[in-house]
Amino acid sequence: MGVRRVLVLALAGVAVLAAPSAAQDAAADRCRSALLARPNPPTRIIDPCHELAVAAVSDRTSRYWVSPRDVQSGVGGSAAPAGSPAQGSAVPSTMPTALAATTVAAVAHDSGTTTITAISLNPMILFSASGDPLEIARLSRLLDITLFVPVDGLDEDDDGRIDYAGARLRINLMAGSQSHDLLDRLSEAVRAEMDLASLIQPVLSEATDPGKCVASLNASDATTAVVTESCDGPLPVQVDEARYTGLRAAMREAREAADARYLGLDLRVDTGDPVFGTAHHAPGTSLVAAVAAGRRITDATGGASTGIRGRVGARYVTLRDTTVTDWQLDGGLAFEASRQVEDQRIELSLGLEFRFSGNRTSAEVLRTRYAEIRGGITVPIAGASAVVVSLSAPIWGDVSPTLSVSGNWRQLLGALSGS
Amino acid sequence: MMAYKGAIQRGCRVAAELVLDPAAGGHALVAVAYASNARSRGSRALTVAPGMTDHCEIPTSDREKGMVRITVDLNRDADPATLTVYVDGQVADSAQLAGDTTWVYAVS
Repeated sequence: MGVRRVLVLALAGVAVLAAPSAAQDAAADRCRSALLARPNPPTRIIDPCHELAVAAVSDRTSRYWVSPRDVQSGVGGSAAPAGSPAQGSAVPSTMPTALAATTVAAVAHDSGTTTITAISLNPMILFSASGDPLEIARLSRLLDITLFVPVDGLDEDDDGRIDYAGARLRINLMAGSQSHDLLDRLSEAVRAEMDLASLIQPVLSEATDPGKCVASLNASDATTAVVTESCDGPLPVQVDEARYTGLRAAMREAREAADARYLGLDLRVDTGDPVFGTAHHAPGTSLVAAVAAGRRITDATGGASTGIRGRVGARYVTLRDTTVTDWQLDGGLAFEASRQVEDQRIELSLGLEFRFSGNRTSAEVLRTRYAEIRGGITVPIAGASAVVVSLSAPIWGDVSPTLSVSGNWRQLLGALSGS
Repeated sequence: MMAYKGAIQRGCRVAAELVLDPAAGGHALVAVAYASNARSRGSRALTVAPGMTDHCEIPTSDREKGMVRITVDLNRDADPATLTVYVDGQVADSAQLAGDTTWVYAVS
C-alpha cells in the first residue's frame, strides 16, 4: 500500500513538473509557426515567443521611421589647389578627398594663360594594404594631399627648376566625430522597443494564435476589442512616436556633421613664381599654416543649403633671388549656396580673401597687403565630376585678377572599395 | 526598408559593416543599438565616406534576452552600398541596400 502511494505521488509530481514544460513547448511551437509564416521568415529561431515579440515590435515601430535622406547634404572633397590661381571657389573647404580626385584648370591672369593640373590623394591608400579596407577607412577621413603643377611649361625660363609647383595638406580635425545625442536617442528608442517586446511576449505565449495576435497588433485599423480578441487578452502596447521623431533629427544632425561641418588644418607649400612672371624676383618658397572651418545648413526640404566658411593662418615667404623674407597674416571668409538637383549639386560661393604684412616695399613680389573678392560656381556634369568657373578681382593691393575654368573628377580609385 | 532578420545567441558580439560605393552622393551613417530586458544597453554609430568601408560593433549580455537594431542612413536612395552583419566574426546577413535600411535581431 505504501509503495503504491509513493508511486502515485511520484507520478503526480512528474505530471505537475512536466505540465508547464509541455505548455511552454506548445507556446513555442505556436510562436515558431507564426515566425515562419511571416513574409520573410527568419532562418534562425532560438526562443520563438521572445523573437516573435521583437519582430512584432519592429513591425510596429517601422511605421514611425521616416528616412531623413531628403534633407541631407552631399559632400565635397575636390582636388582644387587652394591658394593658387586655379583655386576653384572662395575659401575652399578643407574636407579631404575620400579616395582620389584630380583637377585640370585653365587659368587667365595678368601675364597670360596657364594650365594647372592638380591631384589629391588620400595617403592612406598609398601606405595601407589594399586588402585591408577597414584600416584604410579608419584613417581615410583624416587628411589628403594635393600636388599641383602648371602643365603648359614646367621650366619656361630654362633655369633647371620647375617654374611653379605646390602641395596642400588638408587635415580634418572632426574626422570620425559622432553625435552623442544620436547615440543617446538610439539607445532610448531601442530600450523602449525592448520594453514593449517584454510586455508582449507573455501575451503571445498565452495566445492560441500568436500570428493572428501580431497581425491585429500591427493592423492600422484594428480596434482594442479586435486586438484583445485576437490575442486572447488585452495587449499593453503604446509606441512613443516622439522618440522616433527625435531619433530622426539626431541622425540627420550626425550626417550633417560629417557632410557639412568641418574644422581642419590647411597647410600649403608653394615653390616658384606664383605670379607667372608679372613681377621680377617673385620666385620663392612660401609656407602657409591655417585653421579652417565651415558650416553648411540645409533647409527643411532638403534641396537648397547655405553655408559659411573661413580660414585664418600665417604665411612665411622667402624669395629665391633676394634675402627678403616675410611673415604674413592670411585668411578669408566666404558664403556658399548650393542646391541638390536630382543626383547633382550646384554650388555658388562668394567671399573675401586677404593677406597682410608690414612689408610695404616688396608687397607685390611677396604677394601681400591685398584683399580680393573671389567667386566660384560648380556645375556637376556627372555623379563625380564637375565644371568649375572661378573669378577673383582685387579690391585693395597689387595682385592680378584671375579667371579659371576647371574640370574636377573625384574618387577615381573606386576599385579599392571593399577589396 | 525595415526587416526583422532573426535570432542571435546572447553573449555574442554583433558588428555591422557598411561598404559605400565611391559613386555615393555623400556620407552614410551606420548605427548599432542593443537593449536587453534587464536594462543593459549600448550603441555605436559612425559615418562612412563614399568609397570607404567601416564597421561598428557592440557586445551583448550573455545572461539577458534582448534586441539589436542596425540602422543605415544613406545620402540618397540610389547610393550603392552593401551591409554585412557579423555575429562573433561570422557573416549572419549580407545584402546590397536599396535605400535607408533597418535590420532588427532578437538576442535569445
